[in-house]
Order: sequence, then structure tokens, then C-alpha cells
Amino acid sequence: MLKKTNLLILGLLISSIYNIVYAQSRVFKDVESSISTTVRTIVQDNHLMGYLLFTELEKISADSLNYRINILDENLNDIGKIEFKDQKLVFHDLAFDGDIICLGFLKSNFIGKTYKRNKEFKEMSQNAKNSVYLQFLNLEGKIIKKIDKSVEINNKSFYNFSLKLQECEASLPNGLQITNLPQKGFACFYSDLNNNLLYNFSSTGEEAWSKKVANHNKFHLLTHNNKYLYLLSSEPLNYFNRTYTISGFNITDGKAHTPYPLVDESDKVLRILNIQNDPISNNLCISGNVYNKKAKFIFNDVASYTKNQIIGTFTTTFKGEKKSDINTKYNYWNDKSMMPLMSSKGRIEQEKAYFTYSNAFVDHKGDTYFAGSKLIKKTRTGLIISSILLAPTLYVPMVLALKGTYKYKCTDAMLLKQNSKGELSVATTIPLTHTSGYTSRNNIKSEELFSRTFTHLADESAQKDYLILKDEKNYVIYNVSEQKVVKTIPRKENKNNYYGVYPAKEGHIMISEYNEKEKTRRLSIEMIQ
Amino acid sequence: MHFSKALFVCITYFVLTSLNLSGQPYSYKHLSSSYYSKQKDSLKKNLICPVWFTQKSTQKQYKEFWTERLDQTCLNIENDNYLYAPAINAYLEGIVQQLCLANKELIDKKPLVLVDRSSVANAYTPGNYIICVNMGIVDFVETREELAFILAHELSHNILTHAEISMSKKAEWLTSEEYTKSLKEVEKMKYSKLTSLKKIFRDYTFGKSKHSRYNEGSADSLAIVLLKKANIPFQANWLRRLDSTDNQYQTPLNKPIAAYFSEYGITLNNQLFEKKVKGLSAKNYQFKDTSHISDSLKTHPDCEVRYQATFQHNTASSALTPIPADVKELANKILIFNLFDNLNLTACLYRILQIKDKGNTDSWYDFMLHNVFFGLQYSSRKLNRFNAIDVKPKEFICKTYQQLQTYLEQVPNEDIDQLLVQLGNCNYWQQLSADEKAFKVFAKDIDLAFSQAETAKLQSAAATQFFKNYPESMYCETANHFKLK
Repeated sequence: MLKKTNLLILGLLISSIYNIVYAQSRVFKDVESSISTTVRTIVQDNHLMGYLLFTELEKISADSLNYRINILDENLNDIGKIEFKDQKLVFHDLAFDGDIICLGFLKSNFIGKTYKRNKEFKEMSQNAKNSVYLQFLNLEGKIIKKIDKSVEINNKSFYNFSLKLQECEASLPNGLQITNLPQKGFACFYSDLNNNLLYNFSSTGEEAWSKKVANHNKFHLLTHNNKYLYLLSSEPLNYFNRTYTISGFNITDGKAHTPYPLVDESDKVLRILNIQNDPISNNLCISGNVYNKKAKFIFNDVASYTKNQIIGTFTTTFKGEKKSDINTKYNYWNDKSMMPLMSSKGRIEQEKAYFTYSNAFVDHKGDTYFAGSKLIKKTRTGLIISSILLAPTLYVPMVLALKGTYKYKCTDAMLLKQNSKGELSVATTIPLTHTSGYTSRNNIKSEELFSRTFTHLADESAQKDYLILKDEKNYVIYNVSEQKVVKTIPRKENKNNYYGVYPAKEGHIMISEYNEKEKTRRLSIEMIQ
Repeated sequence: MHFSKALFVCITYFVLTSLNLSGQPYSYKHLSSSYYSKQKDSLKKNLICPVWFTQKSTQKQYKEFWTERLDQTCLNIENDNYLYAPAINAYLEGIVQQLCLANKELIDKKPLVLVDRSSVANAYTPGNYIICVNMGIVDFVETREELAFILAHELSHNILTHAEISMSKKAEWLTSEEYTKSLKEVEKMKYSKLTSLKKIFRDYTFGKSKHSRYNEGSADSLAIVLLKKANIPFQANWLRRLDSTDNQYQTPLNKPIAAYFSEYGITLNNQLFEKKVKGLSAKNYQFKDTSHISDSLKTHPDCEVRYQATFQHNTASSALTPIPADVKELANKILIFNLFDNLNLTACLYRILQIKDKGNTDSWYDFMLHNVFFGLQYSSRKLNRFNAIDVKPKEFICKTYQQLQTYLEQVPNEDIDQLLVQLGNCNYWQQLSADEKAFKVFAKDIDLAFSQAETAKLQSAAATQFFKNYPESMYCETANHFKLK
């Protein structure tokens, strides 16, 4: 018997709220199509606290809309709702601290308006007023504070096919990002055409400080520990890759630390796989790979992992304000220093395979793990010999040129462990569905290799770490601490049932079961072990 | 005439209860899909939608509602929402017959009384003199007279044709020019379409609610008349009691949960009853007043209003007849098994423990306690434990219920396996019937099948075997879930 509504299937939830009957009537369809809902998780200090549904209900005037916020607890129980009116709000982000939810929107009298003639667009553009709008909501359903910060952004438009009209749009270059500062309130970052602004607000919405940050191409507001807040900025390195800089700020007064570019001692750019707080020290920890200086790393190209596009791993820990407080542990294989574990090309000799570095995490003991797949590379000996023997003909050499001299196969998942001393070793291999046979570089299908995901879940209370691995056929739940598979969930069962596995409240996973025949979805929050 | 009929009913009741083999409240063949299949066919064949309207569109709409209602009743029968429990049916029919005989001029049709297996304390009627009585209300009421008032109330809805009137009003409204005009106006509106639609429906449901309150009030009034003519006393205080029907899980247990298990020689891990919750469920949220359940959410709203409207009709103090213990017992067993079969496990286990608080030592409840853990084991294997536990928000439950649901949420699979072994070795199995013992074996086979290839086929084979050996056992219903169609 189904007990929980599916919070992701909005039509069911919304129609149950509004009791709309006879949906075949045009007016009901009109009304239903104008309702849109965004679902977000409510997270505090990396713990899932609940869920929030932000619904745009209807336009009530040229400049005003009705909205509803539904709040669900971590067990998907509905605990409350708030309704309010405002201008057009584009929901961006939210954070939770203490008993306050901080919601961030782009508020506009321009976005969503439609027009037929360019003259109307020009007029609307000139009169456009856009702002970053923050709402501070308590658990009694009251909005205790509202903050409006005017922004200058590019006003654009696009053709809305369903309305058959031009529609105005605008956006913040880096979105609006909010994170909680434990027991201290919230940090908020956004950019407009003129500035990149970082704010610190108390839980009641009082502004503690604000900072203008130097311009970069992209920004991400990162995690924090109890003393410092971090901003990650980036610039394009080449068509495929980016360079990163970490900027730290004291939470109390916003004092900026010296920006720290993520490069190694010989200025090789670092590739970020993971950013998190170290579970023991709570310091910011970044892990990833070291790019080769001339790297053009393409994450879903096997050659990127077998031809030294990446040449090492790193874990950087930010313990304080000064440069001397930043420690990095490196492992390089291109200089043969990792032998016999790894060849100079990064091949892991004991496994006779290369490694597709897909994710990383720091476990509750402080060790860094790199998660990825084993990639086996073999020479196409037969084809090469054929091409030599049949060189006068063009056919075989052409085939060789198209298929390449190597063939690849992706097998199990693997974890490499970098301990506190910086020593890298193979921790374990985890059985996954292998790719079918060997194939050429271009043919190795995305869904077999590069759509594999490795999601880390930490159960702080139990002091255990888990990985949710997704391959072509299954979800595999792996207990890293005990090095064993605890659950295997097929992605598809009995022709009609499709499964999805997602993080949920601590120590649990959310399992979504979709029945294609009955068009029903069931959600269940199960213990991870 | 009255007396001989009443005597016949009583004798039938006692004979039927004494013939109840194996202690089971009913037989598998008494589930409504089998037992009432003829009545269902008869309903479909013979119940013809009356012509109430000359306007074709309104009559068409009315017929749609009428057919929908009939189809729902038939579907409920097909889905085994009802069953024939001889003792309970006889008891209910006895009361209904007494009311009918005393009110011949008002009741011109023999009502069909259906026992609904639901644990919700309610009774209802879809019209056409079909009265559905939930086992939850039989468990809730204290006296025969109180139950008689409930039945009289439902009979009154039929006498006053409330269901038919409600459908006709709805049909009239939905096909009215006013409604069509309102929708067209909304369609033309540029803004506030949703608000306008809500207003249209609110005005309708407000009107409907007024009529609904009127309906409940008039049903109460007529029920009192029916009771008086049948010489059955009335106490308005029963209406006040109905206000507490939703508090089932707010009543704490008499002792710690672990104490119930220590009677089986089982020690539970006490740490699993509490947990450090890092979610919103542990926060002091107060979006609405949760000191009591709001009227709109209650099974029985407006109880105080109904009390005030009827207390002057109280019969002067007279002896009231307690519901026979056997009837209560059967009702409890039916609703507990229904909760288990629907995998509503926390509620099921809580009710079992509440029964134990009353000093009931019937080993059937020990058997059902074992089955709750079988259900939990199965749900965990199917990655559905969350839905089987049905975690309720804290404002609707008491602390012991919260502890129980926390325990069921957290208990590791290995502990459940161990619990089942320990419960399976207890002495109470000696007092149970052959099919109940066989059900334990069936449960083990279901679980074993998970570790083997072709799980579904093995489970289906186990179910088929159980059916073959015990075709009349009520536990065939659970086995039926595993049979491959």
C-alpha cells in the first residue's frame, strides 16, 4: 500500500492540494500549466534536514504572483506551508541554520514578461529592476526578514514556443549561492555586471559584513569550518579545463586571506574531484588530480587516463589563514616515483589497469579515497600486423586509423587510498558490470563507463563511510569502512520497474521505484545497511 | 414477534461463535470478493440509476456520479475491503433488524450490512441501504446502544437519501449555466485564474459543507427517533466520545516496549528506541496549532456542535449493554490482521501491545507479533521498510508510539532475523492451529527464497502449497500476494 506521495511528481501533489477536478477542461489545463514547482533539499552542515517545495501558483497582476512554500521533514511528512505574494521570483538557493531557513531569489519586474515588438522590449529593458531577494523564514511559518539588493544584469529574451511570443529573461552570472555558518547565520554570494559580492548575515537576517571579490569567470561558494568561509573561483585554462583559486574569509569580520591558486609547486594546474570538510578537523579539504602542463583532459575520453593528461593526485587541507597553514600531499607517477604500484603512465601494475579518477572523499579517519573504474588497455596486435602486411592496400590502414591501435575495456570499480602520510595504495576493488568486450577509444559508450557515478555518503553517528556506485545495470552500495557490498539494487527489474538511489537523511538512502506500465512512483527511505 | 426474532439472532450468534474453528475470526472464503460476489453482481445488474432530471446533460452527469459510486462499492467488494464475520455480522444485523422492525414506515428496504476491515473508527453508507461498519468503530464503542446509534445514523442517511441528494446537487451545479459561465469568465481572465477557480469550488463546497453539517445534524435527529421507537436509549455523550477516535496512537502503553518482549525471553537493544535525529522532525516547528487535531482533519468533525444539538434528547439513565467481549475480540483481530496484511506494521504492533495491556493472553496476538516481524523482514528485503513503518509526525503520536516506530526504523536486518528465530521457538506455538504453524514455515520459505535465484517463482510455489494445504485459512490472503498471476 502506497503511503507517501511522490514529491517529485508535481502534478499529483499539486492536484491533491487544490482538488482540481475535470482536468480535461481547458481552463483547468491552463491553470495547471501555469503552476510550477521546484524541489530542494534542506541541508545544514552537510546533513539532510528535510525538503522544500517552492511553487509559483499564478499571476495575480502584471507585476505580482502568488507563491507557496511547502516544507517536509526528512521522512517526507508535510510539516507546514506558507503562502505569499510578490514580484517574479526565480528561486536559486536555500540554507538552514538553527531554526531559520534562508531562501535566495532573483526578483525582477522584467523576467517572464512577453512582448511582440522590439520597441516593447527596449522599454521594458530600460525600466527593468532586478534584485537579489533573501527571505528569512522561521519554523512557525513567519517571514522574519526580507532583504533586497539591487543588481545590474544583462536583459535578454527568448522565443516561447508555447505562448508564441518573445519572453524576457535575465540571470545572475554565478547564480545566488547560500550556505549556513553553524550557529552564526548565513553566507551569501552573487555576481552582477559590476561586482562579485560576498555577504555574512546573522540568523535573523542582520548584515554582519560584506565583501567585494576580485573578478573571475566563475564562482562557487564553498563549505566552511567554524572559523573560515571559502570561495572557489575559476578561469578557463583551455577549451576543456579550468584553473581554480581558493579565497578564504574570516567568518567573524570578513577579513580576506591571501587567495590561493590551486597549482602545484611547478605551477601545474590541479583538477578538483572533491571538496569537503575533513570529518576529524572540520578543515576544508580539496582532493583531485594534477594535470600535465600541456593537458587537454577530457573526462569521457579514455586517452585522458592512459596518456598522462593527468600525472598525479593531491589532497590539500586548509588549516588556517596563512599560506603556511595550507598543506598538500601529492603523489606523482610520471616521474616513476610511484613504482612498483604505478607505471610512469599511471597504470596500476597489480591490477594491470588504468584508473578513471571520477570522485574522491575523505573518510572519518582522515584518509583520502579516490574512486573510479579500472580501465584495461590492450594493443590491437592483429590489426597492426595486418596493416603492415597489407600496407599497399589502403583499406586496413584506414580501419586502423579509424579504430586506433588500442582497444579498451572497463571492468570493476576501484578505490585508491591516500593515507595521512600521503602514501597512495590500492584500497579495494568493487565488482561492477563490465563493459561488453573490448572496443575502440571512440566507441566506448558513455553509459557503460562515463555515466558511472560514485557518490559518497558519510554516516557521522555510526562513523562509517559508504559509496553509492551506479553502473549500467545496478546500484551498488558499498561500505568503505568494512570493505563490503551491503546492497545491490538493479536499475531495472521485471521490464517495467525502474529504480533510482539518492542520498537521504543520515544513515539512509532514498529509493525511487518507477513503474512504467502503471505510471506510478514509490519513494522509500531505507537504512543504508 | 420481536422477541422470537431477537432470540433467533442471539442463538445464531452464539452457535456461530462456538463453531469458529482454529480461533480465527473468519475463513478465507468469507472475504468479500468470494462471499459477496453474488451480491456484487446483483448490485451491478439490478441497481439502475433513477431518472431524476429532465435535462439530459444533468441526468448524464448524475448517472456518472451514480455509476462511479456503484463501481466504487463493487471495487471495494472485489478488493476484499469487506468480509463476512459470522458473529459480528449477526450482531450488527441484529441491531439493524431491531431498528428496521420498529420503524417499518420509514425503512422500506432490508439494509445490506457490510463489515469493513478498516481500523478507522467510522461507519458509512454509499446509499441504497448499504451500511458499512468499520472494525475500528466496533472496537471503539463501549455499548450496544452506542453502536445502535451509529447504525441508526447511517440508516437515517439512507432514509433521507442524503447520498442521492448530494450527487444530484453536484450534478445540477456542474451542469448549471452559473458554473459554465463562471468557468468561461475564468478562462477570459488574464490574472488570478487559480484563485477564482478556488473561489468557485469553495463557494460550492461551503454550500455543500453547510448541507453536510445539516446532513449530519438531520441524520442525528432521525437516528434518535429510530432509537426511541426501537426502545433503545440514547446518550449525547457518545458524540463527544467520537471526538477522541483519532487519539488511538496518542494513548501511551502501560510499560516500556522492551518489557513486552522480555516476556518471550527476548532482550531488545534499548538504544534503538531513541535516536539523535538531525532532521526537521526533531525541531519545534509550529506552522499550525498542533495542540489538538484541527476539525477539518478529524474523522468526526463538529462533535461538540452535534452534542449541543442533541443532549436534550438523552434518555433518562438506563442500563446499557456492553458490547460482548467476543465481538470486541473478533473486531480487534480483524483489524489487526488487516493492518498486517496491508503492511501497516507500526500501527499493527502498537495495537497488539495495547491488547496485551488489557491483560489478554490469547496466543493469537503472540502469533501476530511474530508476523509483524515477518512483515518487517520482508519489507526490508524489498527496500520498502519505510513505507511499511509509515513514520508519523510527532504531533500525532505519543512517546511510546514514537519509540516503537523509531525501533522498527532502526532495527538491523540481522536483529530481525534473530528475533524471528527466537519468537519462532516460543511455547505459544503449541496452542496455535495447524495453519498458523504452517504460516510460520511459509514465512521462512518466503525469506529463504530471497537468497536464491528465481525468487518470485519460489515464493509463488510456497504460496500455492499453503493454499493447497489450508484453502480456508484466513492467512491465504497474505499467501495470495505471492502467487504469480
